[in-house]
Amino acid sequence: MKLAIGCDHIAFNLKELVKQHLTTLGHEVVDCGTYNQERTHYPIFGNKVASLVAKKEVDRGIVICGTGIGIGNAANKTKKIRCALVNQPFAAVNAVEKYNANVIAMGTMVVGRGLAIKITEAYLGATYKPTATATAIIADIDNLIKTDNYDIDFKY
Amino acid sequence: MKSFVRRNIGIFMKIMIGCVKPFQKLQQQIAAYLSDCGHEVIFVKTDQNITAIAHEVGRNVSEKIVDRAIIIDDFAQLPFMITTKYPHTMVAPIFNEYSAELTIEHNNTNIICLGAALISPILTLELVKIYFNSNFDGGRHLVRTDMIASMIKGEC
Repeated sequence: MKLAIGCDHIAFNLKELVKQHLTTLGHEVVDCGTYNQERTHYPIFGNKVASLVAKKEVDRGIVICGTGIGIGNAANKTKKIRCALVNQPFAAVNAVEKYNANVIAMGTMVVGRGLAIKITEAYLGATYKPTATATAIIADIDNLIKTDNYDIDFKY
Repeated sequence: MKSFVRRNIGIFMKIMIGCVKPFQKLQQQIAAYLSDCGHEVIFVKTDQNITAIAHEVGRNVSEKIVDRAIIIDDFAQLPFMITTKYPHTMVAPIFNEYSAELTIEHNNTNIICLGAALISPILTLELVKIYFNSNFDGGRHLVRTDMIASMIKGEC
């Protein structure tokens, strides 16, 4: 699978670990940054990963910050993104099977290295189980934001 | 962890609660706590599906008809995907005490999503207490919340 991964400075170490693990498993990983522990802002990286996913340049995305909440909001506020914040592998599976989640968010201060790997594996191993209801819900979510807001050049 | 001193006393808010039918008892417990604190609680009709509930909450928070909102369903995933698409929302699915406190301090969250399939009713109530007894830190976090707010403009 082709994946995009992104994080803020707090989650840099966990992002590197997950990236390395994904590469070992044979996935192709696009690293959207951040690339060091220098203080930065999570919306930049959430939107970068989300943009690649929305434009179908990658299959799925993974975003990580302190709690996963800030960067998860950044991903979800990008058109055509269905991001789930997950703390457990089975929640990641639920998100994909029911809502075809195309990004997951995790918190480096919340999940340990071991659990983060398990969540990632569960997420990538799950497949969407389409139903008429789910398809309608997904179409509804994807239409909520009207204009493409990809690769935003944030002013701050 | 901070003790439950009512630091917000005197700042009474309008709080909307949306909940799917199976978790109505928990909803009542949360509402009772919030009323005791002096807040005004507004209920979303429970005889509708979680998609409709999430839209109603998203709209009310976005248009500032209510100050904050709580949504209870099974996995806290669909409400996260839907309400984040509305302007002026910051949404946090919370599963632990750390995220409950940090999300208001760092993200100035105005909607929390609770997954009753993932955490017990007792813990859920504890998380609500922590969330409503913490405050936004502002400062460098304001830069990021402003960036998130700039992502969606006047849609939905």
